[in-house]
Formats: sequence, structure tokens, C-alpha cells
Amino acid sequence: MAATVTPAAVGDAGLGDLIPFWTDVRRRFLRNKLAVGSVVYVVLLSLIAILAPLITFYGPKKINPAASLGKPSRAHWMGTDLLGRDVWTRLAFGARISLSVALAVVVVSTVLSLLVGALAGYFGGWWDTITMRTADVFSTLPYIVVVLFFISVFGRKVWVIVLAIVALGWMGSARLFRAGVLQVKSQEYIEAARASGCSTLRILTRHVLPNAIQPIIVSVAFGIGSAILLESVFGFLGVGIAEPTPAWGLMVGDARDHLFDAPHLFFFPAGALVLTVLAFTFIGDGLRDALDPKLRGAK
Amino acid sequence: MTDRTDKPTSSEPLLSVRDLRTYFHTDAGVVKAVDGVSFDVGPGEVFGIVGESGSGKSITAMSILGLIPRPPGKIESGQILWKGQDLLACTEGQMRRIRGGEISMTFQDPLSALNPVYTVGYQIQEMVLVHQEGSRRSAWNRAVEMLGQVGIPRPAERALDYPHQFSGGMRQRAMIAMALSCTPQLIICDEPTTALDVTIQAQVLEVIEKTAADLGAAVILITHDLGVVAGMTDRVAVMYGGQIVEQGEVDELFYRPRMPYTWGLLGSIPRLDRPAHERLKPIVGAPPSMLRPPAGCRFHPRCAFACLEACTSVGPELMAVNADAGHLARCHRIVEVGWERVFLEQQEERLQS
Repeated sequence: MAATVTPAAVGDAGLGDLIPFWTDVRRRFLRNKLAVGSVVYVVLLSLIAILAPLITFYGPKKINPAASLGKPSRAHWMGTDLLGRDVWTRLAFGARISLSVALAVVVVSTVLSLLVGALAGYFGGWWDTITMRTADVFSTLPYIVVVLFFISVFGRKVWVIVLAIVALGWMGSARLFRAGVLQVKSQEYIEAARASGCSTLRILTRHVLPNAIQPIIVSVAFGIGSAILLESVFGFLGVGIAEPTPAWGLMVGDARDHLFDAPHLFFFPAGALVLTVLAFTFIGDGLRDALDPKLRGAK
Repeated sequence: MTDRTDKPTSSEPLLSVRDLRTYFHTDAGVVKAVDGVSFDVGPGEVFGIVGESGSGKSITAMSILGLIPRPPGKIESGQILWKGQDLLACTEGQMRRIRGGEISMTFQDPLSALNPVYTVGYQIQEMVLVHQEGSRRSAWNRAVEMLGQVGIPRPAERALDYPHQFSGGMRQRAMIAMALSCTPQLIICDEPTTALDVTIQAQVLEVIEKTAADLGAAVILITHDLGVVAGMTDRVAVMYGGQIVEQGEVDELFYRPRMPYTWGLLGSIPRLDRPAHERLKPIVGAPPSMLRPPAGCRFHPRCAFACLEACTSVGPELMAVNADAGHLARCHRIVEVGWERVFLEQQEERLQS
């Protein structure tokens, strides 16, 4: 997972065997126990999502009225919901939704904000004005209106939710990256790179990006957490992915009416949500420390 | 514009800057950062440019490499002839090949001029790969070789270090190694010793001198420190207010300075061979505002000898004072009164004070 959240970094990891830059970052990341634990958790969660059909014993949409609101038992590890569906099965299949939505959101919005931010920051001028004012406009949109607009036009499909979350979230990382580029481009080593004959593209990819990428990598990690959270909020409010698809937000929403007679309906999906968002936050923290250039090469 | 009688350096100059004018168009007005600068640098020659902050030395260097930020900067007129080819008429692609490949540059603060995320060796390797065909491995070997040549101990190991793991002097050496890695014919050193401890300044200068000589590269040494210039340059230009005010062979300029500003610069160097009670003579006043430079001679508000009417009204031209040594100076008094009398006046004044 850690590799997929840093698409831009992967390009630079191929710098050759001579450069221990990412080795160094990895070493410092591995020293952060909380972050490493979170990575283990995320890997486990991904495995559960991928292997969901193999490790569950009921269909995620399979209704069984006889087993309505069953407590956790040997047959149903996490109990059953009002319609008698197995909570563990739905949780495992729901991880697929949450993770793939988050991944899609992060990939699309990172690529978008890298492009927008890098060009706005490096070239400035009218491109900067247009993109940043557009970002301002997007920031003023209430998210519930945006998602209502998207689902009323395109329907309650997964990719529609992804688009809605991207539309609500790209501005932050674009601004972040633009600020980073602005700061880096005034550095003397950019001028030195120009003085040594580097092309603009080379300066952007080799000198600006690696120096300005750190906040983006961190924001990607945090972004996954908040995308998962936002998708659940939409599900909870009934404007997200539609029933009977198993999504964590939907499950928490369904649990509202049975908080006291069947608390397991609430605790398992809510717990999974909290743990997952926390895990990505810890990973983001760990990455931030590991990528801090001031600590580079520190023993 | 000037009756320049530069001593012909070998046959043809490597670099010939002709009446260069680089202006910055700011909200407050036009800043004439470089205003009619001309000089030649011959193959293998070490040429010094001396001046205070804001005198236009660095902007001259940036103009040569085509690195003036536009806007607000603009090269208004002039020619920069590199081996006969006008760099100002070159395309960006042609300039890229020249930058680093034929003309390279080192910067004042080597820590901020080296990229913090790459190892020193990697940065030199990249520089080589940008300009030369060849494998990564051979470029890496070149990087290690260059680091060894500038006196970095255990270069193969230290090439794997990041810039912040180097000391100040080593960083400056590394930058020199990088600048020379593609065997350029000219290296521009912008204040190479300013950010360094006095104890290692001489070492770094020696490295520049020796490595450039080994590769047959010419050097333009930009500094505010006359001591640096005295030790290693062949010829020197003194800049003031965007113009060259005096130029000539280094010994000629140091022993027979003809421009009051140069006297001022020489008088403000602490020297051990002067009597202990003698005070340093600072140049009074502040450098001119380049937004509204003084009328007439730009130095006249600070000049102790500006008593001609022309000093405050007509800008003096750069005139030959000793054609044999290619000695030029920009001063009305020298031309009209003769430097001997001006010098006597100065001595009298000194005796009276």
C-alpha cells in the first residue's frame, strides 16, 4: 500500500543503485513503531478486502430473515443485521469499497494537484491566477450540495462518489504543492541547475518535484483517511453508494435504529472506520518524519 | 562607445562582452543594474570583477549565461560574443548546451546551491549526463575523479554523502568540481570565498586556480574582496553603479590605480605593513541607488576629489590611461588634471589630517 500512495516517488526510486535516498527514508520510517504497525494493519485490511470471498461464508447481500439482529456467535462472528445479513461478510466486502474508493480518489486528485500545483507555482502568471481562483470557488461549495449534484446527474455509482470526493478535495493538495514549488523555485540550487544547462522539464522533475514532494506524500496518506471518512459520511447520510452494496458508512447508518438492541451493528463497522482512518494518519505522520530533509542521513 | 585599447589576449578573445545593458523594470522605475559594460576574457585567462554589493557584478554574470529573470529583467542592448557567436541571439536550446558544457558557474553559498535531496556525487553525475554521452557508471567515475581533483579526501566514499554532510569548504570544492566536470572553457565563480572561513579561503582559491589551469579553462572571478583578486587574477575590472570604472592588468591596477573609487577600495583594506596607528580609510557614504543614479560621474557624491563641474553633470567615459597595460579608467579629473596632481592633493590632505 505504501508504494501505491506515492506514485510520484516511485518514478524517483529508480535513481539507480548508487543513491541510497529512499533507503534512508525507509530506514527512518521503519523506526516509527506506530507507523509500521499501521502499515501492517493496512496490509491486513487489504488482504481481507482482496480475499473477501474466500474468508467469508455468506453472500454480502444474502438476506436471512430468520437470523435478524443476531448477536455475535460461532456462525456469525460479528452478528447479523436487521435483514439477517452477516456483518463480518459485509465488513470484509465493505473494505473493498472503502479502499478502492480511497485509492481512486487519491490517485486522481494527486495527479490533478501535482499538475495544477506545479504549473501554477513554477510558471505563475495567468495560469496561477485561473487555477487558484478556481480552487477558491471549489472551496466555497458545501460538500453535501456537490455530492447531491453528482448523484442526481450520474446516479449513486462508485465512480460518481469518487469524482465528488476529488472535486471536494483536490484544492488542498494543489495549494500545498504550489506553495512547495514556489518555495523551492526561489532556491539557489534551481538557479544552479539552470546554470548547468538543465531543461525546464528536467528541473521540474529532478529538482523541484523531489524537494516539494514531501508535503504531497504526507497529504496523500492523510488524504486516504479522509476520503474513506467522507465516503462513509455520504453512505451514512444516504447520499453515497446505494444499498444493498456493503459500504461501511451505510452499515453505520443502518445501525442508528438498533444502537441499544444490537450495538454490534454499530461497533464493528464504526471501529473498522476509526482504526483505518487512524492507521493512515499514523502512516502520514511517519512519512512526514521520515521524509524530513533535515533528518536525512541521520543515524 | 569607448576608445578601448585592451591588450589583445593571444589572438581572439574567448568571451567578449560589448556594451552590455541589463535593466530591471520594477514598479518603482527602471533599475539600470548593468549599464554599458564591456570586457574581454581570453582563453585560460583569470579575469576578476570587483565591486560592492549592487554594483552589477552578479547581474553581469547572469546576463552572460542568459539567466536574467524575465520579467522584470531585460537585456536592453549589447552583445555577448562567445567564441564569436552572440549569446543574446541564441535559442534556449543552444544556451542550454553552452550552460555547464562550455560556460559554467559556481555560486556564493554552496549549501543552498547544491540540491539537498541528492548526494554530491549524484549531482555531478547528472551534470555530466546532461552534457555528455556515456553511461551512468562512467559519469559516476567522472564525478569521483573530479571530487578527487579538487582535493576531497576519499572521493569515492564522500561522493555518496549529501551536501549537508560536507563542510563549507568541501561544499565549495564540490561545486567547483561540478562546474568543471564537463571541461568548460570558462568558469564563472560568483563570490567563491565569501561564505567561507578565512582559514579555508586561500585553499579554495588555490583549487579554483589549479583545477582551471589543469583543464585550460578561463575564470571570471567575481568578488568584493580585492585581496582575493590580487592573488590570482591576470586582469581586473572594478565595477561601480553598474559600470566598469577601472580596468587593467592586476599589478598595474594595484600599484597605479587611477580612479578615486579604486583608491578608496585599496585604502579600506587592513594591511600589516602599514603603521599601527594609521586608521583604515573607509569610503564615505553609501552605494548609489540604481533606481536614480547620481547625475554625472556616479561616484561623485562619495568622491573626495570631485571638484570639476563635469563631475556632477557629465558621465565620464572609460579612457585609456596606460595603453600598454590595457589600463582604462573612468574619471574626468584623471584626464583633465592628470593623476599626479590628484595624487599629490590626496597626499597633502592626508598629511594635514
